[in-house]
Amino acid sequence: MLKLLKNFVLSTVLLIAAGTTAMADDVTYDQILANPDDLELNYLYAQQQVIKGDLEQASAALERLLLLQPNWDTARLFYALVLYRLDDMAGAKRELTILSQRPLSPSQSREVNRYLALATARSRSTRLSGRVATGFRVDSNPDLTTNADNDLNGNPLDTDQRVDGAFQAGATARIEHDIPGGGGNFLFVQTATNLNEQFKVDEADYITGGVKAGATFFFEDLQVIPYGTFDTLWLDGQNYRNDYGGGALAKYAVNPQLTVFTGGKGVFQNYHIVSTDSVGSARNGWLAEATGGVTVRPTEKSRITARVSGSFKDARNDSYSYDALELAASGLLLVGRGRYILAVASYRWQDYEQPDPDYSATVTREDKLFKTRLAYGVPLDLLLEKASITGSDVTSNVNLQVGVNYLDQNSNIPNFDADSVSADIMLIKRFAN
Amino acid sequence: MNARTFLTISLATVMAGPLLWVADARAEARIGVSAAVRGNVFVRSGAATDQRRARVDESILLQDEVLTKQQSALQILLLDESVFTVGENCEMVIDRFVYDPDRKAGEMSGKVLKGAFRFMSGRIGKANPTKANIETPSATIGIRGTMFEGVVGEDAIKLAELLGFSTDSADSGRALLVVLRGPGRKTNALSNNGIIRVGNGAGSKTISSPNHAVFVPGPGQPPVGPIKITDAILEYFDFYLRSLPNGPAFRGDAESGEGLSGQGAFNLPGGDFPPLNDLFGDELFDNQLPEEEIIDKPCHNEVCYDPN
Repeated sequence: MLKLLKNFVLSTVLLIAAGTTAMADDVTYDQILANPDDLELNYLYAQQQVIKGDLEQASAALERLLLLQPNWDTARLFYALVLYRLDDMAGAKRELTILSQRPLSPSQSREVNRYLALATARSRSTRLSGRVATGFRVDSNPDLTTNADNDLNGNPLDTDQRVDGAFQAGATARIEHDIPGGGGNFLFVQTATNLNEQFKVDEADYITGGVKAGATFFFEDLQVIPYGTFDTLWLDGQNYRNDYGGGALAKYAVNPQLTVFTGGKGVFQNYHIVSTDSVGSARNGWLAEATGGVTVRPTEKSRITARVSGSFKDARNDSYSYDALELAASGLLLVGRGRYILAVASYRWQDYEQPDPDYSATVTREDKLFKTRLAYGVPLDLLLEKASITGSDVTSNVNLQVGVNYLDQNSNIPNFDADSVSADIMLIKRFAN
Repeated sequence: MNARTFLTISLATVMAGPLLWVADARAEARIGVSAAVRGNVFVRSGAATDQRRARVDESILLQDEVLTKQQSALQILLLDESVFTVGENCEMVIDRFVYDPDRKAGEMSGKVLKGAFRFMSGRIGKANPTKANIETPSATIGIRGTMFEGVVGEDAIKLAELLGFSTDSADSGRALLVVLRGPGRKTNALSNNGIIRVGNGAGSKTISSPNHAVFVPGPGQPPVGPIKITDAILEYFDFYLRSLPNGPAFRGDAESGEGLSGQGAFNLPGGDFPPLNDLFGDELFDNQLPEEEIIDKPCHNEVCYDPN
């Protein structure tokens, strides 16, 4: 953990240092105006504008450079990927197709083939993308055994927390189909599944599945996403809960650095009795959620999202009805060469409507739940490169991700006090077609 | 000429003098530089009837008219970092350009009378989108921080036919086809996605997705589209506005495009595996009861439920 923090600080300092160095050696636009046909100056200017985040000017400099020297293949590759970053897939494809016929280094050829496939996939009217992941997790308390010694009546509680490992796997797939009209609107269907198979603590085994289908409509800087959703949760091979419903999300891009969003969702939750939980349909009922927040991009390689959400559950038995308020923040920092840091933290207050006689006849449950996660990802090809092994199509777009998690729940009913620390390591392969 | 007429003319001359000087000074103002020239490109300054051959690194003045011949192209850098590229058989003039480099704001207007062109907006178009536009004989193109291409004239009609637009009433000299190129909504740069508005007295159309086109058959006719362009349209603009290798590799360096462009950093995980587990805290905490209390319990809180 300390090493991770050290790496993070070091990477940030290096990024700032790189930026400072670039600023110190600025090629000014006046210099370009004075020497517009200077190939080296334009090339340096394009590199500098990339560092400053002004890709349009970088693209203009490279376009000019290629008009003046059309045989500079590395500049064309640079130009192609700048267009890719600007989401001009047709432009990127054109330059990459030209490059596929040129004498390049083996690593440049691999890059050309990879981005040609990606640009082709992204410019299709019907697009498929997704991820598959597999890995292991170790948890200090996977079934959230309470850490309180006694319940409200003074009876002793089982506090025998069991450290356990688990095999994990997951997959998502998403298909988008453009709606004609040129507004960029599209339909989508996405599915997701997760598997957690504990080595010893079987009650924490689960399989989830979910389907979400909807459409994304753009009104200039506003996007509106209505959708329907179905999720299912299976515990130890038994169907525990199914959620059916829908919702809508609206996002407004105030500027490239700031997006605000708001959304609402309503699902009917249908519970079943399973071998580890006999409550079943007493929990059935509508769950309504409303959320709002902001996403800030302080730099092009960092993103912070903060949101506040309210949840309202109306269960058949009011012991399971609740209101909840949650504050959450997440951050993503790209630290170069495909490495990234993800951080998530949330705090949730959840108050139930009436006492659950199983625990207390008079005290209504009130929980406070804090969760946080920190993950670090690195492309597998980068690790292989350090071991002097050349990557392949199989290892391309694969991330090795390690994460640490902490959960702490405090409740006015001691049975629900629990905490856990866990760590996971995953291989995640992304695909697009 | 009587005395009264002489006085009137004198007064008019005195009063108009500064105005003429201002107009002349504006006409002489340097607004950019020719940055890349291919083939036969000519520039005609202000009211002059003669034209000179364009050279790289030559100042472009306000009201300069740029004319390109066959197999020719020119890229102009404007002071606000806008970039105008014109292809063969094009006629173009920048007729208004006011730029305050300190505020990075101003106003810009250009006219394309015929031919293919590409425009990438600079500081003016980004700071105040309503202050940057390109006029054509059929419509005005309003710009918000973007890259787009267009063609005026007979070729616009041919391309429109390839896209399936009706061209029955099209004006062969003044028809316009415009294509937005980017940045798209999925750009990973800190850029607004590009938006252009193509309009005239008969209507207006907005393009907000890259590689979509709007066609204006002629003056006073409403714009139609947008529609996704085909490879043939792309090839047309690529042929006139971009370059193709024509010889052995220059330099032969082997730098990575990912590294140069910064794309290598953009390994966006797109979510996280595993998700923070909100899925079934209920079930786990239900197990906190003593063992004998959680065995088969079809009734809960003195209410019985259908287990299914």
